[in-house]
Amino acid sequence: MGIIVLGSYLSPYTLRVLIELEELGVDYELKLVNLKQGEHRTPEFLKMQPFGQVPVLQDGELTLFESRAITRYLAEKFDGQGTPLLGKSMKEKALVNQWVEVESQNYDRPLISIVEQVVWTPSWGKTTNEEIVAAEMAKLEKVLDIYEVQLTNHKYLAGDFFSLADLGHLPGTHLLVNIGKKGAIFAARPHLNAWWEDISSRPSFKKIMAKTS
Amino acid sequence: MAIVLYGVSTYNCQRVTSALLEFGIEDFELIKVDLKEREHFSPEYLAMQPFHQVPVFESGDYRLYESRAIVRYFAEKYKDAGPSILGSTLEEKALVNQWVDTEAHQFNDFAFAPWSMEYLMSWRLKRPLDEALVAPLYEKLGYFLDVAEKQLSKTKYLAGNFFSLADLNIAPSLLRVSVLQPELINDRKNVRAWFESITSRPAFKKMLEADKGWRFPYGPFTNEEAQKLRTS
Repeated sequence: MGIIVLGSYLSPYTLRVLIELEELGVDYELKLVNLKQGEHRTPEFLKMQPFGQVPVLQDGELTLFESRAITRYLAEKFDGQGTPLLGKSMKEKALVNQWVEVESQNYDRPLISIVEQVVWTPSWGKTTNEEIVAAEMAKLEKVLDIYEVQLTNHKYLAGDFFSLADLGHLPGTHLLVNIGKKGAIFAARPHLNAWWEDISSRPSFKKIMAKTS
Repeated sequence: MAIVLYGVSTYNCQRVTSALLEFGIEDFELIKVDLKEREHFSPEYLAMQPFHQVPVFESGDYRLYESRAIVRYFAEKYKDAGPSILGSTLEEKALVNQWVDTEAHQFNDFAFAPWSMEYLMSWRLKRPLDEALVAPLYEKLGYFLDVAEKQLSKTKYLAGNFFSLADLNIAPSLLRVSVLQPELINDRKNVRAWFESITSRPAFKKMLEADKGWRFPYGPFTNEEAQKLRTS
């Protein structure tokens, strides 16, 4: 029995795991969870994931949730196979972890608020709240200014190597820039933009994005 | 190389200090960053932590921020100081990470941080609590603690039968819950036992002594005692 991912192509958190599996060259089975029909809120699903969220990973006896815990587990399990994602020395690994936390705490939260308004809300037939968009865009732009400085001095976030920290930004940023059409805030910051162009040209990302359309 | 920690008294600073003490490291400098005076926005501080947040870890010219990344670094670096709080097998590590992230997303960001901030603001600005804000957050805290209650009926700690990074990370926050609305803890048998266990660890107690900025006497409190503190 191999790796099973329970998730949805609509969920950037699921996509994060799928992109990583491609980077690692690991086979997996995707079991789609129908979010629109509330499959993630059923008693059966809540037994596996009590907070009713995707993705969930099953690997033999192990059932695991939280996308960053899943990606960390896979990177550790398949260390030595595919793209190295964790960093080499203890200090490098810590910097990767620092930027994974930055993504989780500072980047993802305004980003998802914006995506919720400009991508998901219209898809549910509701009206975008432009006040929320403006407020969250202002927060995100401040974060992007910091990223611009970091990426002026380094090719990738944790140093001169692509890592889990950069990978984690891929699906959400795709939703913001390509679907939500908010790319101007990236184009205005040349090093940030170059980094985005670089990481979004990776074959793993392109392969998974092709499946979502 | 001398260890310096910037930032005291907030739950995430306390997390980092207690982690160092867990590994038997007592020789470090704890430097206050005055958040009320906006010291974290000074150019000197921003050069260290551009997101204007505490804490920061420094040793020589190596610096690290984000409290969860810092404690993870300590856990790796001082792995041989005692039983691993990261977990020993690949599967144990995965479950520890799952609960570390669950604490971050389902407890902290989602509920605890805004909830405790509202209490702090209402006390500092001497205005009533915004009940409309607090009520749904309180429910979310309750939901998380219900999930924890169920987990703790199966395992002694969150990720298994060993004290892990997940328990370490949440302890300072739970201390604040025990002061502000202890019924959240007191009314859940397993959560209560676990809370007492993780906050009575020697390292946790040493951390509270080292952190002189902590205002309340620490718990656990009965629901009545906390009510008195809230209205004092």
